[in-house]
Amino acid sequence: MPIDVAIPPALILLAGALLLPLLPRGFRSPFSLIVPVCALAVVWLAPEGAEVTADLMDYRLVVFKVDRLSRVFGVIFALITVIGGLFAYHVREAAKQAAALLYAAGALGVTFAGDYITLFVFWELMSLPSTYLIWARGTRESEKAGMRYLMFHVFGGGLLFAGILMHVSEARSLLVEPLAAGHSFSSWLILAGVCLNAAVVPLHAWLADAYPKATVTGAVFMSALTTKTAVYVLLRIFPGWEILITLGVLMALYGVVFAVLANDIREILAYHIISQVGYMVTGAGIGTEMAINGASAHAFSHILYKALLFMGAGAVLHTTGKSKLTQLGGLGKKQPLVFWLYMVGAFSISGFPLFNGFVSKSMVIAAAGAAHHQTVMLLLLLASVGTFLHTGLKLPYGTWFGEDRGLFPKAPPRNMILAMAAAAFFCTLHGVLPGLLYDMLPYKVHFAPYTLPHLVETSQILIFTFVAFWIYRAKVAGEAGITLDVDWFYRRPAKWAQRLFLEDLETAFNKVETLGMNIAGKLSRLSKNPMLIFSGSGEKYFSPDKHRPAIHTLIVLALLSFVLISLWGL
Amino acid sequence: MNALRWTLLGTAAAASLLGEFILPVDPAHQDWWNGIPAFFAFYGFIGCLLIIVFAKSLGKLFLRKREDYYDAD
Repeated sequence: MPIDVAIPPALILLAGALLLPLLPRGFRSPFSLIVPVCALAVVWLAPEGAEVTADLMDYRLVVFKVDRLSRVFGVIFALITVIGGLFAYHVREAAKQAAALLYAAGALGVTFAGDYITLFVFWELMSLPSTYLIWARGTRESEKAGMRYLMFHVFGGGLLFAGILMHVSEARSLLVEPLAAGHSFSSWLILAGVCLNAAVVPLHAWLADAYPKATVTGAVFMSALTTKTAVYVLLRIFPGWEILITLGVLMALYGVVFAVLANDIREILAYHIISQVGYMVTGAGIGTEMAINGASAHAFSHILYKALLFMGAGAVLHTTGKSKLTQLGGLGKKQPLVFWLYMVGAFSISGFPLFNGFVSKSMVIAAAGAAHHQTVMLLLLLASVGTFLHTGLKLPYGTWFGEDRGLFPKAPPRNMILAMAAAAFFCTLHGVLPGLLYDMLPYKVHFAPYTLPHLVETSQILIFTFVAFWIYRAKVAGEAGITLDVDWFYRRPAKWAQRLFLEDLETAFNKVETLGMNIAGKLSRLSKNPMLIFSGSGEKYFSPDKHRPAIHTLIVLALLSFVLISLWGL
Repeated sequence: MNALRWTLLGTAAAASLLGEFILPVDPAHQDWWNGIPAFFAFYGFIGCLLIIVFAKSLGKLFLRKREDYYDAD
């Protein structure tokens, strides 16, 4: 029976995050698990249509509003916070644990927000703790990447806020409701702000830049929350905006192309977030019931398998200290459990039958077909070839097989393995019993994933992708170096901006300062003895005896003044 | 990859290719590519090569830089 009182789950997580640092050290880890479990229970039990409102000045805020769309996202956000909390159980720093809870509070707050003010407050709440999860890695690289990440999100928040202010003044309503496609400037601003968080190309570079540099445990939360919260908002406010179809397909392909070039394993996974979110953005753009269902289902599946993949890559980094393909290799025999759990995630993202990617990705593609977007279908299938190529083949081959680099990984903490197993369980559960996932979706599902044509199509694609990979596997091996992305446009000029606004400006200031001091020095010397103007050199101080001008000079001056005055009088 | 795995893979490949011919024709899901035999096998193979070649040539052209490209300070 549903509980009568609806409690916003974000408040539970917020309270948890505030309480956590006050607890004794030993209690913090269990506490950081119990809090999201409570939030999950609250989301699960919240009755549909429940609303909590609050009055702020003249505005009526809807801080908590439950419908089927918000519930499916709320469930997965809370669930992944539990799994992420388990993965981070060994972490003892209160700041990291509290940051994770705050971050999840932001995501859940946005999900259940019924008005724009609540939505914006929680939206902004996500950006600081997630930045902290990058900084907490403690390297100089992560410090700089975190700052770039923060600046980018502050910019996105600014776009969103400007859009919201304009929208509220135009529409005279704070309520979060679908916006009509593309006629008002305010909706374009809101769209740009949301797209930035969804890592829509070309506003995506922060993701591939920051995620590989975050902490091992922090990256798991990041992979799940920021982009998928934005996907939820796209589904809520922008369903049927056709531009999203183009952008989504672009993202799906962009991610797989850039993943070819990546060397860091978490960077490969980060580019595949962009690619996978592309499917969801496409779904939002198509906007039919089936597409919204598909995008929601894919977000649900994606959060589980992507967290699992990040946990696998994180476990490798945690146990070996390495994350670059050029430094990894031959770990398969040394950590088989990590490898196989990772592979469950890889099979899922690649859309293998019996795993959750198969039942959700195909729904987006089928929705594109049903809406007569055949090219979109083919391009999304092409992206899924790339997904299998990297996440399923290149990354595991380079990490656990390939050349043995003589690494001896330490045993990962047991909680890491448990968390991976939990995520793997759900990935397989929904693959085997898709009904469990479909029952949660916003609309009634009329889609059967396990049909013979779909199985044949998928297995042909996967098998022959593997064959091509095997023939050309040497070509896709990691190479040392970095890949330029659109972050070049703000990272490279940063140097010039620094030179222009800091170094050159400082030099100019110094010059002006020296000049000013010189002039002041000279003036002060002159003021001590003005006679130096005439003599050029002489005593430092004025002395009436030595420097008094002769009497005739004074007489001449007096007469001259007299003549001038008389002339003027004429 | 040992012989057993190659055999399994070969069987799966054969099954997926043959599976196409026993499919019931569903007029509701007929796109132009359904008329081409083994379309998705080619699509997987060629698509995979295309992605690798395209990305690698972009990388060679201007995207790949040395590790300290941004940190000349």
